[in-house]
Amino acid sequence: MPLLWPLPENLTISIVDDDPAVRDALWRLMDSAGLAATAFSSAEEFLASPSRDETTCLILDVRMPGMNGLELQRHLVASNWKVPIIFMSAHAEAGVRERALQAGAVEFFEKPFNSAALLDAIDAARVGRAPGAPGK
Amino acid sequence: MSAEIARVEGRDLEAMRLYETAIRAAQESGSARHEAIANELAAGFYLQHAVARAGRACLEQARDSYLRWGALTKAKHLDAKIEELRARAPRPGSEPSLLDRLDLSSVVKATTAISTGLAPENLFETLMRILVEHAGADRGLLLVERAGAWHVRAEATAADSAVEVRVLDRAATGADLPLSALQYTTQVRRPLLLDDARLAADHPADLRQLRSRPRSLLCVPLVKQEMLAGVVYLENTMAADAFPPERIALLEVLGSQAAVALENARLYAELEEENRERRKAEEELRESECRWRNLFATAAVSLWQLDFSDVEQRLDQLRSQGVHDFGSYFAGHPEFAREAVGLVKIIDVNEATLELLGARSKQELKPDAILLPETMAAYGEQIVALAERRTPFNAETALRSLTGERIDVLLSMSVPPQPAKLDDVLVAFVDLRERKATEEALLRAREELARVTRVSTVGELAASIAHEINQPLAAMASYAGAALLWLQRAPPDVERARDTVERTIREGEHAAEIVSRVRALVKKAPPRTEPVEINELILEVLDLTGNEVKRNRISLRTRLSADDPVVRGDRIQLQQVLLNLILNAVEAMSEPGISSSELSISSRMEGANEVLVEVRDSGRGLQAGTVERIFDPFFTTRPDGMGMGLSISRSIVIAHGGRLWATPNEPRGAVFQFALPAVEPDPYPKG
Repeated sequence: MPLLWPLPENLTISIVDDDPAVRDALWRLMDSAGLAATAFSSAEEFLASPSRDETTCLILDVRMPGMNGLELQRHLVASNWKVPIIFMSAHAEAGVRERALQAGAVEFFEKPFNSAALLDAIDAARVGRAPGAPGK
Repeated sequence: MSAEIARVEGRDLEAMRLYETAIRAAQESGSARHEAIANELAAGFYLQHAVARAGRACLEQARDSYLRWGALTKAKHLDAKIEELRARAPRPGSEPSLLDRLDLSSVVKATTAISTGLAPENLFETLMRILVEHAGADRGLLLVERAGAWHVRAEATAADSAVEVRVLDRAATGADLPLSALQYTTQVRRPLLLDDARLAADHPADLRQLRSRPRSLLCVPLVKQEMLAGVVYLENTMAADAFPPERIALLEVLGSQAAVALENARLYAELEEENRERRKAEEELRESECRWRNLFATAAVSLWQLDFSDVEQRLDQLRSQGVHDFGSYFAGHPEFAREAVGLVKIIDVNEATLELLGARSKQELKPDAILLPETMAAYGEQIVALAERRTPFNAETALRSLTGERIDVLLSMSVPPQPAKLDDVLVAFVDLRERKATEEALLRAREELARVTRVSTVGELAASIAHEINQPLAAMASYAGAALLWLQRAPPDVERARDTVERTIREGEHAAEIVSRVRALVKKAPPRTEPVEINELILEVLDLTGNEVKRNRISLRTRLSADDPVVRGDRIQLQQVLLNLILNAVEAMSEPGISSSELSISSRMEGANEVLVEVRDSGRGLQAGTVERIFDPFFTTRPDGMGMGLSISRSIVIAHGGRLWATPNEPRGAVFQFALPAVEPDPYPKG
């Protein structure tokens, strides 16, 4: 069940990670920072959710059962979805970081990462780029 | 006297020799009376045998002796006899008789030669020389029967004045002599005299076969007391009547002596042969004894010569008390082994034994000093083997050196069969310490290999495990960051901060668990025996492999027994088995072209005493013909596989008293199952 939070600036952070602890921790970090966030346990769940179109920043895990982070990114880019994506991975595989950044990711964090750095990256993405909007 | 006895008994040649000896002895003693009597008796003997000239010579000697002694009447009486003999003697110029040619000295010489123990070859030669020389033959053969066939043992030929004798040994043929004559002589056992005309008439074929052209032929059987010792064949190529009857008579006399001599020679030869064989046997025995001694002394193996006579006596005592099954008697009387061992006497031990036990002499090797109480059963077994004459007897046991060190040994004993006494039994002890050390080294190597395999399996999993650990770490970092932000608020939201801090702590514990689980996998843990809950074990391993399973999009189904089965064993090793099976299943389903991958893991009780764990996959399955080989070391179907996983897994399961096997899954894939003996759950679980 995705967690919803009223958005102060009408923004929503979406978190996609299959690990329940990471999911929960990230959601609480966003909460403590005053950011509204929704957490999803898989790419499929995220795609099927109405939150997809309200998302202003996507925090995405790479390795997941089913559709993985890179596949989701490819899918979103293909559908002209321009919301900034911050990647994170617990499993540094050669080439993954490069592929993610090349495909337009704003940041790639290796787990574990500094929570302040993540919040900074979210902030930078929000300021530097246009808020996420349905790609048409 | 002995000459007279010999005469009466018919030992003519011996009689001749003895007469001669008596005469010579009388001469030497200077007793004319004795010389006279000896000569008279000898003369009587020769005359009795129609050897007139020899007889007359003896009579003349006797007469002279009687004269010297003064027995004039006796001398006169002999004179008359001599005159009579002289009148009967053949006139000079007529054909020389055998008597003329066979003078006394020759006869005595022959007698001596024949009677003294000669080797057969010498006897044959002497006999033939005398016979041919004095019978007026120009060729002669000595034939002896052996194994049903007649053999020529000597051939004498007279050429000019010399007689040449060749000692041989070959089968007699028709070229040597007329075989019909030989047959007749041997059957009738009487001399056969033939001339060529007669032979030509009766056996023309025989005559044609002959190498020589004899005019006269004579076959004389050498018979003594109904026993045919040989045949002498003589021929003369000059005269048709070369062998007159008196010559034949003398030949018969000589022949019977020759028979005895031949028989003696045969016995002599046998004796010689026997002696030679005995000497050889003795020599061989000495040599073998020497060799054995040498071997015994220098063998690298500890050898004992033990005397079990007293033990045997004790065993006989038991037998007389009705004990027949020594095996069960010993089982019921363990103290008897100790008693029996005390009855064993040490005859000798070799250097290796002293060295092995650190002793200076065999006297130090007392049972109490060198036997360990816990090995007494093995020595009891040895006594049972002795009692039952069970051979060879081998047992693994131990000795104690004089310095107190335990020495593992292989006892090897060969029990002499009945009725041999047990007073000299050879027992060998082979030092097994080296072998044990090798075995232990092998075991260590195997453990090391298992550990290495475990490590490399973990190595393959390393990335995955890093992922496992990084997840809680990432969560912790985020929780901690959140807690900090809650506290930085004005006013600080302590309640939320506390909540996230608690979550941080929980994730820290989670990470620590993963680390310790990994450490346990890699650690070289000695095999331990502890109650292991199978379901818990399965969940632990699934925890470790969960990520691999998910990553390969394998749907996992677990059906765990509600009985919570418990086995006894090494948790880490059993984890290793399950880990191997699950990773193999994942591997089998991660190949391209495999759709709908399903891994099913279940546990259940089989009856009351067995726990069954099943790992079922829908992968490429087992290839026909490899099902039996997949458990072989270094057998692998994977290009990067080492082929040790299943082999080690099976060893582990077997070491736990269980079994591991594989069957095909339906409709595809493989099923690996292992069964382990179930135990009662630990009533006092730790923690």
